[in-house]
Amino acid sequence: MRRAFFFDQSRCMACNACTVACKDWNQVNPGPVRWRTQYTYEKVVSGTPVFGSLSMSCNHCEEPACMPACAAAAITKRDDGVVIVDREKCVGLQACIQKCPFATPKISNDRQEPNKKQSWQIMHPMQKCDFCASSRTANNEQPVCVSACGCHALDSGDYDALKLKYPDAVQLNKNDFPGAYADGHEYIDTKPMLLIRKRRTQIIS
Amino acid sequence: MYVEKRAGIVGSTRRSFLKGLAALGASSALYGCGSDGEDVVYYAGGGTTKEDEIGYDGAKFIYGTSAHNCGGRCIIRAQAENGKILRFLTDESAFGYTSSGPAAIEMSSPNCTQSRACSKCRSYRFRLYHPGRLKYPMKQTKMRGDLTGFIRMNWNDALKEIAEKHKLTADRYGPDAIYNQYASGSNGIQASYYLAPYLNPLGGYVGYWGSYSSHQWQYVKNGYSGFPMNVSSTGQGYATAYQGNSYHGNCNDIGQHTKNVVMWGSNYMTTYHQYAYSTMRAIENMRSRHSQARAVFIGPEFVDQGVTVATEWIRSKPYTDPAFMLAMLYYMITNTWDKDGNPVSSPYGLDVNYLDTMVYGFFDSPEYWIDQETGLIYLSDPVADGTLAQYWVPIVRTSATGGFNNIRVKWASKVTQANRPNINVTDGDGSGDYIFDYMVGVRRVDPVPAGRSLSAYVMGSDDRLTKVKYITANNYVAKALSANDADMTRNGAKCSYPIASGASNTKYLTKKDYQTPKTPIWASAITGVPASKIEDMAKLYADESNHPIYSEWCGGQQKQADGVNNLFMLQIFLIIAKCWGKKGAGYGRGIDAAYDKVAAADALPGAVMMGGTAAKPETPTPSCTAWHNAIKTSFKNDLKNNGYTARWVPDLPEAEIGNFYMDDGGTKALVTWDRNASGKVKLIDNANGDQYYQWKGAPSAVPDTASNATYAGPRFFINVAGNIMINQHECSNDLADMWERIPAYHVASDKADALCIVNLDNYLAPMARWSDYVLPGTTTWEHDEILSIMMGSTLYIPKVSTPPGEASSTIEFIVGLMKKRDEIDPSPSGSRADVLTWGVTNKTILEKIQESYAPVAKSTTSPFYKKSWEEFLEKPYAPGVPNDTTLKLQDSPMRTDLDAYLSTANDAARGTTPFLVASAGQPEFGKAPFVNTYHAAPDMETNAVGSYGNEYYNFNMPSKAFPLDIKMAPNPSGRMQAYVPTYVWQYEWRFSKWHGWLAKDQRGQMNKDLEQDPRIFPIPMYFSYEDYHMEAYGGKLPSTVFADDPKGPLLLTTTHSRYRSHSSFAETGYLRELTHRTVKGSQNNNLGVHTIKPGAMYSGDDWGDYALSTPDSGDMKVGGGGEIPRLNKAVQRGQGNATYAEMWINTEDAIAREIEDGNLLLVKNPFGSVRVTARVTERAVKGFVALHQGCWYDPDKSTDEWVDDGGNCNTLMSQKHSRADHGNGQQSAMVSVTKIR
Repeated sequence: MRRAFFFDQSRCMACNACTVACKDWNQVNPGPVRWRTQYTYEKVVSGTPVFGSLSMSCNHCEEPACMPACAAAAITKRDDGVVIVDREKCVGLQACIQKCPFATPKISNDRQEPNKKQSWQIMHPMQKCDFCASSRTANNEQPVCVSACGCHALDSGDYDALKLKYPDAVQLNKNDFPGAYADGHEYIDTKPMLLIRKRRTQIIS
Repeated sequence: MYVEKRAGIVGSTRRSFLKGLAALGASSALYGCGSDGEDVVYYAGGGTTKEDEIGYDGAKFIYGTSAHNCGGRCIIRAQAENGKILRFLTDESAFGYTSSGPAAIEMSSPNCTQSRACSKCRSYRFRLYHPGRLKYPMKQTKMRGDLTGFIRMNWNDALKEIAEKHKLTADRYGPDAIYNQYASGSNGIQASYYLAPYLNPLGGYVGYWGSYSSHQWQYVKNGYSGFPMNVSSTGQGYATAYQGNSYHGNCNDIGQHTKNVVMWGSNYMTTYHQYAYSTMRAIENMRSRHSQARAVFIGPEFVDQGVTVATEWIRSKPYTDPAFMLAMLYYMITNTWDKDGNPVSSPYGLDVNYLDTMVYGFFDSPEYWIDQETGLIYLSDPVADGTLAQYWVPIVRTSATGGFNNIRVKWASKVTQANRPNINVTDGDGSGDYIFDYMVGVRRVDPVPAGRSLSAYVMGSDDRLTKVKYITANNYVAKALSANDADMTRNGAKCSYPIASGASNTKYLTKKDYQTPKTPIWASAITGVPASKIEDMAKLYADESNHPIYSEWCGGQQKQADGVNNLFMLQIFLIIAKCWGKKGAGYGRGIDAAYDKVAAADALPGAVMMGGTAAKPETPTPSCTAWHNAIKTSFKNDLKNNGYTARWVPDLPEAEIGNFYMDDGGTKALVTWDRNASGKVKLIDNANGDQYYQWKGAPSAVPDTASNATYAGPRFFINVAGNIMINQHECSNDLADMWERIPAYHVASDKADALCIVNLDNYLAPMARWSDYVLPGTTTWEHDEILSIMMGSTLYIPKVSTPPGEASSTIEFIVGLMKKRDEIDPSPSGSRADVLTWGVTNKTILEKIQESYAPVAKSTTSPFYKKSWEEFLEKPYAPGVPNDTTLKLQDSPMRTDLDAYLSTANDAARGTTPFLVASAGQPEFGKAPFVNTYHAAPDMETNAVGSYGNEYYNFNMPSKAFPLDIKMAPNPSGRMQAYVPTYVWQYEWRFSKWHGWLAKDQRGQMNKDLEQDPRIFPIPMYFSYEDYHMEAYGGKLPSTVFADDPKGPLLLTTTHSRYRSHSSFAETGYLRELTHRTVKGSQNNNLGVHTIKPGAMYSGDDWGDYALSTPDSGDMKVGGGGEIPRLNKAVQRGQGNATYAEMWINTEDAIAREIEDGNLLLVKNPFGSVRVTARVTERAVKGFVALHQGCWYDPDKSTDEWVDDGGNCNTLMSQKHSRADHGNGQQSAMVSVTKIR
């Protein structure tokens, strides 16, 4: 099994129920770190704006760039495809962030994360989405973001099963979804486990 | 078992809490469970480790929802441990419920009833456990609004002082000085409006008309329903709805029948989260069924709904839609006749036979009489000349449900005038009541004077319609009207609306345009939309092969300066374009799901009301937006003595302070009234036999001159979970200025006269700051609550979270207040408090709810059949069942008959045969044929026979209810009206029955602008927004006011933010970070937030520095003193994490002002200024900025500018009311925008 997310760009209304539910469920305080982000990015093409919404967490890539980048071996990929970080091992080198084409791994600050756990080696070890692996998906429940989505724009499951379920979806790629990729990060095809149904073009006059 | 344990906790906490309540009799007792200032305010979370996540193992979740007024009502489930909520989930129901049992919820249905919550409810932990929660009662001891003047007090003293004040004021002024302020922060059984009825045993209160959400739409829908004003919602108004107007479209109808959707702006998916999925799926289904389908979004701001569902966005300037529609009408007219008045062959012309048959006032027309049973037209009065007899039809009410639109009426048999029953007989049971009678037989139709019809205004100086002869059209009406004059033309003259000062002298752009043909090029200059696109939209509407079209009006559109006119125009445009009466056609504010809810009798009853409501004494009901005007009148001496100059209200000259600002909105009615024993206001005649309401001290007859009356005005407010009085009303600076110049109650000398504002809230939100008493309130999860889930059963939400400090629920507060009143002023008939608690001392709302549950558990059709209370608590909710198999809607029988009448098959007969609705299927009227156009179209939502025909019922004004001079109401035409004299009439006569104490020429409302021309017209026009602002600037042109801004002003609107629910969530961490940014900080996007860039703080990080009312370091001290606080401590101290609201600004406008994304901006106009951060985006059109409503007013009083760092949009709003309805025009402002850093 390769756990993957599906995102329907034609249905996402940018309400952020997914990102807030994620923070609440995973006990992430208000502040800069959010394991899932939602944003409606925009660009101007030949003088006409184009808008696209995107809700994205860690993409649990088939070939995660973060994992080999971590000198502390804190990042691993489980058999079901979920990429997880062991926060106790993190020493704060942040190479994972630099290597990830989406800059997905997150580092918090003292306001958001005031209490260091004894077992941590540093104040704010890296954190990111773990697919609700230990809390929900282990019990055959959808991750909290998926069950939060009012417009049913999110889904998750086995990558191949999702491809069958959503035949018109495409795998996340830089050409179709440049807004997903972080500025200034080297592009590496990590085979992100995210399928997206694209929105149709809008006429702007 | 877990739930039993939970229930046990609820019970025991409850009981100990109520001991405090019971102890109130002892004056030394403290209220509630807190004993001192040392309660720990706890944060949830703080972990972000795997262990925290695992902590949910074995947890159970308790069903609930939230009580704020977001528009939705969804499900959240809380994981609660030991009086604290750890996390939330939402609805994961798999089964809905009908009377026959559960049925699977089909997730892919557009009507999916799984009730998933949005980010607001998911963020609720940081609302419950915010460090700024109010914990103790406080009162203001210095100047109103001075945060250092608050001292802590105990509940006992607070209740005693409030009860005493209420008695003093009510004794002196009666109910006319007790005001039930509009508030919407808490609904359900703990709602603020829940309080009001319990003031009735103490003498009652003044209520209000309308709402801040939909004042203008309500006015359009009902006309003004206030004749007489204390009769609610009886107006089947001048602009009565036709299909779908009044509410919402049905997603089945749109998905299955509609070919095109046009959104005249829409933010429905944000403001009605629960229906977002249905909206999105309806349009998805329309597009998959009809490949050419368009979903057009028109507006200045491409909100989330536009981005999500629109196939195209027409970028237009705000406030200009009427110009867009007028130009479409011009296009249709010129595709009907050429400049010489000869017919043009075009698919985009008007259906002239339809217009003649069904619409009044699109063209000029002569006076005529119509026989309502035969439809025959007479050019002279057939009753007067003895040709016909006049008959009357009493209309009988058969049910009392809901507002007028839901009342079923039927015609009784025809009677002669002499045999008419006593009309207006209402015994209150709703059944069999004659509510008015209706003249049939013959009706006189008023002329539409030459050059005054809507088409004359559209064409301006273009004279083609003065050349088109009526007689050339092949329909009965056209032939009959020109029977005596074959040369009679459609319009008698070019546009003839006069201008007193002359077209070249007037300051009003609107008037300068009377003579301008309203061409697409004209509209393009106003709207910013290319003329070709306006023509494209005219073609879409004009060509019936594109029908059915569903059009959506936007809530924001009817909160603009001319919002009534926007809806008036849209409605009439859609009538002319024939967009009604068909499946899939209509006009509404959004698209909803269709589902069947659990029968009310089988769900927990929603209305567990307290006992003993008494009848409300009769009072006037001014517009809900007019209270500030009344305050300025009742406290004019304080204001003058304390230096109030109305400096933020340029159109209120200092000399006029204390006079009624903007005549009037109902405030002229707030004098002390003379009532009989049953609470009815007495009536008094004038010399002509006209009847008025009788004020205290009135002479024996109403004179034509002004008479002595005591102006009561509002002097006592209980404001629960409300921010209206400073934050959510226009011109916050003026309101702050006004409040601060009126002595705080604590220091006022005459306690009966003094202003006293009692505020119960969760936070020291802005209006708490300017109040006299600030009381800590609980919110959902901290008290027992019942709310109705939109797509499911009513829901009981238990108390599972320990309230902070001494916070009290609304119900505990009102019972406590009544106990105190019993103490200081015992009632001879026994304890008033016991009446509220159903005759049992200290009976709790929980006990009452459990009682009302008992029959539910015995009903075999209830989802809770045979379930114990504990089992019920485990799942107290039953979702509704999608109703997507049976589409109840049908074409309107009238439309079907009309289409047959207009068909080519009927060409030969149409010129000599009037149109009559022959079909059956008019159950409400039960009688066919008939000619009037009332009750013609199926309602989109209910399939009830709805109403259309935008006209005003002829009440025939019984003298018992109206002064005789009001009986001169214009006649309704019996057709849909594009020319509506009643619109003018009702404006001019509004409230007049309460105006007997005024001089005759001051009764009603003045229909005059600054140049003595009317401001209300019988047709919808395009009123230039510059005119509204010119008036608000005290007569100065915008070009003068903004003369020193080289880039010129930008237009501002204040769309609802999803993340605030008005101003309810301004402080909540998870939401604040989505809408606020540090200066030059990163956005909430995928690019900026993954790392914290040096020097760039993340957005929204000051939530914990916000709205603090607790005695933590340096903040306000209990007992007074402390650092002079602002609401936002981070801003006050210049901390790096201080954040400001985002304002959307277009890229080109930003470049012109050297603004980059994230810059701090100063946004300014004559009413105030705010500091905000720039969000540079293409989603705002050029020339326009969007500052979303609901941020908390936080002025910097250290300078005279009072710059608002809170970014409250209302700081920038003129106090000038909206046109026609005297409502809230708070989505209209012009602003100067400059970069600070």
